[in-house]
Amino acid sequence: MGNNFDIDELFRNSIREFEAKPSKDVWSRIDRSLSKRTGKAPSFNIGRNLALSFLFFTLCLIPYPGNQFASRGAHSLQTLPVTRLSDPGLGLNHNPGPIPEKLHTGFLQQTLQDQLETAGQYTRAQAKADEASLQTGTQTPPVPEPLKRHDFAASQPMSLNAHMLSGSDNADLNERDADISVHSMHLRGMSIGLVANYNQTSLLENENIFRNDRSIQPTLKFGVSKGLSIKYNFNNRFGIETGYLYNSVEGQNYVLSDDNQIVQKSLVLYYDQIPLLFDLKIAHISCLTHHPVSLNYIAGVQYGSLRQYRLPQEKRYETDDAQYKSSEWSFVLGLDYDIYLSSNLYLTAGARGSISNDISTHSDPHDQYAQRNFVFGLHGGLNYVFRNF
Amino acid sequence: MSQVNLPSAIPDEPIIRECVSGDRRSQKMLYEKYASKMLGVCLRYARDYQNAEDILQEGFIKAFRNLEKFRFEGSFEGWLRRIMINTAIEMHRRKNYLYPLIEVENTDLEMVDENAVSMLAAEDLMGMIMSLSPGYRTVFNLYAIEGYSHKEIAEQLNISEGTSKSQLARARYILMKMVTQRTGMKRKAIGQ
Repeated sequence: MGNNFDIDELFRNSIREFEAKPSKDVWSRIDRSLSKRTGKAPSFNIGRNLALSFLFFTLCLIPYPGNQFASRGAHSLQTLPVTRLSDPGLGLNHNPGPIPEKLHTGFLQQTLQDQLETAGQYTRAQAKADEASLQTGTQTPPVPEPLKRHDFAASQPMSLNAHMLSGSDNADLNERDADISVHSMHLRGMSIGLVANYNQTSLLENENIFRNDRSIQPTLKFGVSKGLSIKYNFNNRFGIETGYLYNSVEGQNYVLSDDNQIVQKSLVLYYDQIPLLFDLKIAHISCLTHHPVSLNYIAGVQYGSLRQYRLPQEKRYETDDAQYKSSEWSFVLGLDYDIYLSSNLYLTAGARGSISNDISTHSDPHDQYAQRNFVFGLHGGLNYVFRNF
Repeated sequence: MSQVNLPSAIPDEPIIRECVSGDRRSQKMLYEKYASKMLGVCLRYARDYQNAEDILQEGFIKAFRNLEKFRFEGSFEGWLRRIMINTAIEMHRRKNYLYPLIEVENTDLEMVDENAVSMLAAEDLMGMIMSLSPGYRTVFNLYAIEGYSHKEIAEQLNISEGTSKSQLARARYILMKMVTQRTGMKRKAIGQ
């Protein structure tokens, strides 16, 4: 006899393999719960992300309404009517008369060449030949057929129209000339600006809707990022952009929906980000501001350095190891407008979205599935251009 | 008999794969294979039989929902057992009665007849476990039965290691007292 026997061992040996038969209705209740589960709609998170993605890409695919601007008197590169300058009916088959000096130099000359080159089927040499013919009154070589298809009357841009006017029309140009001479379409140059993003961010998808065996319901989380932007436009068509976004908030909000309580949780990650983006531009002169407006289709990559993260307290499998990788790579798509306020200042406004690589280190045994930051939001900025129009 | 007859020799993997695809018959087979064992686990963490069945039900639902996460790298029984334990802990925590501090009167320990102890039925010992307060019961189960360390228990229950140790000591004390009372031996403990 004695009291020094191992009570732990007594219980371990006796009851560890203890079995008891459950009542029959336990399976019935499980069966009912699983049936309800089967009919469950896709999670809010997935549905929301799909909807936002669809909206985003739909917006990207909508053709830019260049003709509308052109028909209201604004320039449009997209609807450039590269027509034979001496085509009958355009007022150029008669002696064009002297071209105002202003139209031969500066913005108009460059604009004409830029526009024609942008059209992709008209060489610089041809442009010079056309220009020479305007001065001498001789006809230019025929322009390739595809370039004739534009409806000139519907889309005549002021710059080309000016070339086509005869001397007797010069008086009509006076007012326009003054306008045109200060509002050309040279987007080439470098700019630096302050930018900010207001994002809706999510991290957990269907595979992660259980945290530590508890079902969760993802909810909206919004985050802000701000920083510097550096852009360089190679020409009116292409540009490149980088910058530095400080303390960009990403992560996920969710609720634990237990029987007796609903608890709001927030998983937050803070990143410093450096994007490298390429812009495809469609520019025109706004009839409202008389300055360029550029629609930019944006695509590129973004590097993010994890500053810190905050995990919900209920997470029971927190380990000493880092739960999230220190680096994040994202693919970025965007659509925004550069709205020039003056020759050196323009606003940027639009929307951007990104999806990252798997940022989880999977040190938590319950987080075996990929966790990707999905960010979608509004983008805005104010930029200064280091050049003169 | 339309009852599904499932010998325990049937391997888990094909059944689990069918369960992942949502086959209800396979889910029922898996349930019937492990329900009794898991109810035994649940009873150790429950205050009564009904509570244990609630844990069992919720645990199996979670297991079926997460079954695709099981990678066949360890035993399925161990994986299922852990889900049951986690479910039990969460259900207790939800009701906020996991750690009520019960003062243990400082009475003398009594001598234990080990032969008499060996005669105690598993049902008797299970009854003793279930009569413990939830905090003591959980810590004792995790440490003595499941083999968790105090550090792991502390992380699991969001308590300090010191609290885990003190709860274990009190649980042992109470259980020892129950055992001695049950065996009928009334002797003063050595050194007391």
